[in-house]
Amino acid sequence: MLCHEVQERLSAWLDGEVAEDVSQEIAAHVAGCSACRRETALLQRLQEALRHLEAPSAPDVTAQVLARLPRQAPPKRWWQSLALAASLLLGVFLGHTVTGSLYLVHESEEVADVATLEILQDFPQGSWGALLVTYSTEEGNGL
Amino acid sequence: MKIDPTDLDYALLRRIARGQEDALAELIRRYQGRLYQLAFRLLKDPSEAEDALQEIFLKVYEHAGRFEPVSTVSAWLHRITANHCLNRLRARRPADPLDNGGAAMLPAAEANPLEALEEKELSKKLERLLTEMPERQSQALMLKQFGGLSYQEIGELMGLSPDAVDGLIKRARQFLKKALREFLE
Repeated sequence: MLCHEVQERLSAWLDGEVAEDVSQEIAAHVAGCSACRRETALLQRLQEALRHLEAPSAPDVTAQVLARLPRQAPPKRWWQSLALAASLLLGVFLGHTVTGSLYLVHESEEVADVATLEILQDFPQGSWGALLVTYSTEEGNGL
Repeated sequence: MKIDPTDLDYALLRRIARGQEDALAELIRRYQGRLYQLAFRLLKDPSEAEDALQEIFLKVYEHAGRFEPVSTVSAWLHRITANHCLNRLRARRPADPLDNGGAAMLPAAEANPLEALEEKELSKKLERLLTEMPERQSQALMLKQFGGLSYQEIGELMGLSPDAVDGLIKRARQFLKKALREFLE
């Protein structure tokens, strides 16, 4: 290789960016050529000077980074789930106590009998008509 | 048994992928110095480099599970840093004109070039020259010098071929060498 060819490739050679066979040719030429050896030394000195460049002291960003991490909702503790379940059960119990039913219809003879009797009545139980009939009956009885 | 640092980094990354914050804190401790140096060299502003550094480690936390051990963790972190900083530069201002062959101005000759410079003075001069260099040359050189990236990787980040990256770095070094020749010999 000629000097100008070698010097054209010196930068890439020092960076390890030339093919192995070309690298060996350059190395052999530099070893035997004072001009190219001098140019190589200058580039190496420059690389060393760049490595020694000072930068402002690196800040410690650990705390800031950790503070900016995305946060997920914490998992519920077991006693929180238990408290929620107990609250629901209490609500159902209280509802039953107040209303007298669990809003569940059970088939029973008694219910069926009441339903039959209601059909035969002029005014079903709980209706305004039934209420008026009851009231007038009580008046008639001198109550 | 001596632990290979690379293996330790990979172990930390696996723990980070599981959401372990203490592993992230350790990775930050190990790498924030080097990554800050690269970010500062590219962004040329200490506070912006600090902001970028935080965002980079947040990205690391988010993407830790996607790391494939085909490269080292160090190389992966430096690529993330380089990519993040170059994106910030693109967002900051319009794209700089492509380097067209080294039309950089040389600095005025020193009054006494024969005077030996101490290392500190050489560094100060070098810092000044880096700001005078065309930005694409400076970016490519900084990515190589402080990022340890290959020409291929630098090319992917800058949208250039490896040969074009070679050209940028070569011209950057020629510029610096010419300006500092008397002090480098």
